Amino acid sequence: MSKDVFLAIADPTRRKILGLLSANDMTVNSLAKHFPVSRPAISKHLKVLNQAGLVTEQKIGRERYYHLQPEPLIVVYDWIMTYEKFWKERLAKLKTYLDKNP
Amino acid sequence: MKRDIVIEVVYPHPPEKVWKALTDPNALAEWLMENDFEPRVGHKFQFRTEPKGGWSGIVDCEVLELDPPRRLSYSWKSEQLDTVVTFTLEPVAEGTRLRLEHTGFEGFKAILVSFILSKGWKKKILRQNLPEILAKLTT
Repeated sequence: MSKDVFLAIADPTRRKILGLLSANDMTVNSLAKHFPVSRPAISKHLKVLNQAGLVTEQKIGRERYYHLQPEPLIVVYDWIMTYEKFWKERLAKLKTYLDKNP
Repeated sequence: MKRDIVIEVVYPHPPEKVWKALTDPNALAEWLMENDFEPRVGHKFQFRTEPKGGWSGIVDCEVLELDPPRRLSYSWKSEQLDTVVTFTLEPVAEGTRLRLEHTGFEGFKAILVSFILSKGWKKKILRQNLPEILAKLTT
């Protein structure tokens, strides 16, 4: 599941879609207005986001609205934060290596 | 907005020695990860470690820059994210100042910031010390 999240946000169009949905629930048509790509292309992106658990859809009247679910992003946040720790630890290990070897 | 990871360390060792530790596969295996690195621009290699949580433990890399003993750079692709790791070595009185820059997180960090600042972020995450989270992502 978390693999899907990284794949989902690796694409800049999908990141922009999520950004728009973070302000308001929107329909495909409203979303598509913000992009130079076709409506079906946006639908495809929404499918990927849905698969990652980042958006849900709800029918209100005749319209289908997309809603942002940000919880899966916690794994991304954790992952980015771990890198800083990772490098600090490795550079400390490098020091040990250098001190140990002539 | 802080976009990259930048860490500087001074080692009491000459640059040539530090360079060797950065470019010798056996040395790298000791302090970084198992690898098939070769000091050759264009060389594609991998770092491998135990998979942990959602992480496969595999990083796909390609040597981008090689300027001994001053600058080494390779791409670092992990979990769909293309980033770049750059080591810069500067001789100083105490030995070598090593600067590590890990860049390419902009898109991911930007999206996290926009969520934290929007209504989309739930209270339970906010309770996890919002100021600290924002500071880490935006300084």
